[in-house]
Amino acid sequence: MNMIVCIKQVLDPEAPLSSFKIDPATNTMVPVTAVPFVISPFDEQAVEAALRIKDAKGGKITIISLGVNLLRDVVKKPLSLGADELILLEDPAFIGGDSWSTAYALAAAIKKVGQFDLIFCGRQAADSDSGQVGACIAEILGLPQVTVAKKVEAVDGKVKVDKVTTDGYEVVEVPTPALITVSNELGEVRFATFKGTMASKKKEPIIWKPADIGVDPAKIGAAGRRTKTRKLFQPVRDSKCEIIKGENDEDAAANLAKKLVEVKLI
Amino acid sequence: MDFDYNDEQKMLKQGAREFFEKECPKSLVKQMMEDEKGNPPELWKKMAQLGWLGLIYPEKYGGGDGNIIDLIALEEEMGRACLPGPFFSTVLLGGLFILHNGSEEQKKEILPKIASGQLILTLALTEPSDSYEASAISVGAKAEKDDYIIDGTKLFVPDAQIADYIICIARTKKGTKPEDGITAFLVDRKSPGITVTLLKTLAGDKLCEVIFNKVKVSKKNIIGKPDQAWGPLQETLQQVKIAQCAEMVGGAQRALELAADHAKKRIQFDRPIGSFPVIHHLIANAMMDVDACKFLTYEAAWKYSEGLPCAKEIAMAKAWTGEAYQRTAAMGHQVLGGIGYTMDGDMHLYFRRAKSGELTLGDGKFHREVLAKELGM
Repeated sequence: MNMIVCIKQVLDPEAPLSSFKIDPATNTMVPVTAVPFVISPFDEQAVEAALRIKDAKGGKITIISLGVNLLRDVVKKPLSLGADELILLEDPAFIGGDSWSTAYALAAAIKKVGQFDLIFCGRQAADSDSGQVGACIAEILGLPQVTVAKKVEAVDGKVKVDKVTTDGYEVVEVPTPALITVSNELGEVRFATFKGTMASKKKEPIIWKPADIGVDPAKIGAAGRRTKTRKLFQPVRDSKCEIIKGENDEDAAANLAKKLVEVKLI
Repeated sequence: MDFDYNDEQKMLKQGAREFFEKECPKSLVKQMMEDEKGNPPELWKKMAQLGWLGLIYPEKYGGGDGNIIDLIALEEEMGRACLPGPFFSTVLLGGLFILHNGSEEQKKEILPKIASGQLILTLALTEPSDSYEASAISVGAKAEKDDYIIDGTKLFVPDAQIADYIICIARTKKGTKPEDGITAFLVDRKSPGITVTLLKTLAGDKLCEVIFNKVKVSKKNIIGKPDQAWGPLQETLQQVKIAQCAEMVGGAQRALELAADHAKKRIQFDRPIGSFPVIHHLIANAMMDVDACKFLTYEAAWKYSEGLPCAKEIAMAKAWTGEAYQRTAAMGHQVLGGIGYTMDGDMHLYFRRAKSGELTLGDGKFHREVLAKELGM
């Protein structure tokens, strides 16, 4: 199977909240040197989904990432896990985009890659959490899509996807080529072996500029935005703590239950 | 000058960090401090599967053909995670000694088993005098036909309680210099006459008293040349010290991060305590200490990797890092205040390991003497 996985480099979402600062004038995050970059965790899940299919059925995995200052030790990680090829859409013209202009550029790159059976994306990026790039790529390329997958199996020219729902999951079959967005319910992602990490040295990324993928400059990056960010801010959390008392543990528990009923939480 | 790791080493480092965050939480570290074996089997197995136990060994012995820079990238994360277990004793002390000095047969027999996680090895060097000088080796080995009989007590032997083999450094002959007449023996821990007693240590590291009571070992089990082990042993320890410094660098870095993060969040007197100049200075001092540890260690590792003389650099790295790590952890306790004083917190893990790291393979005073000798004093 020929598979393409789209990944995004983001600031480590596990970094302490105090590390992140916002510039209110530009509605953007202030670059923080103390916070490392990582692959967006849902995208790592997307890579894992592709690797599982490769383990079972064989095939080729092409990774595509869009951005600027893409750190090679970050974006090459899928190569150390078993992906075959890395394509970077690395150019200032690509930055500042929203989900649509990003998806437009990624879709153009995917068309240039050529034949594929599956495209994987993370369900949402860990920084913007928009959750739309995958759907936009599918729309642009005219592909069926299944979102929020927790399991993906390749079966005779189709894929069978366990799709997460609010109260469980449903099993969906879709013919290939198709696009799947992957959720964390997929489970644990693998770690790279030492040999896999060292072997990734031989796989140099392919760099594509806007002219290489034939995009309209007015439709990529900031120029191609269809949305406008009005305000970016960190909500102030103010918590009050009320200690529920009682004569003993059972009494305190009963008082707590009454309080929860009173505030309509149970 | 580029002091940075290359891309693959950064990937190894980041991958190791994520792995240890998941597989080696501080709750496990604390549990292993109390555990007699101190080596969680699943964690050891997973590290073997990732190729980390054989990273530094050649591929023909089941290893990954990694170099010392690859090793220290991994070691930093081990230090950050306060990794329990016999990596130091098995992979470094014992394994590297066999790699550099063993016969082809010994290498083929031992190293693949270490790399696959099937064998635990250690090296018994220090004795009750707790000195790293050759003159302190008094455990004797007397030749008897095709065997040697080893008699004496070794102290602070890491992980002997779970080791399959112990490399015993023993005196086989009185030479003109204390360095002469020392031999290394590969001893099966189950040999009759061996008694291993686990000691209770400050850092929860598994150090043992090992009594050799007329232990018979075949001459075939000599590693390297008879009577000439001291020089090769010192060569091996140079590489081990670099790795150990890297582990301390990782621990010191994490202690600094914990303190800095706490200082930003902890509100007292209506402001984050990190806004007070005295805290600024404490953190800044620790930053300088940790950076110095890093660059001394990296310089030593780079020179070693290039085959350049580096005895001076290794001595500086070991002397500085052991002491700087302790200063950083002490600063961490000061900044964390009350919560830092509790066993529930993590800072004490770094404090303890800093002391252990300082003392292992020679403390600051020992290495200052080495430096003085390097300067011809």
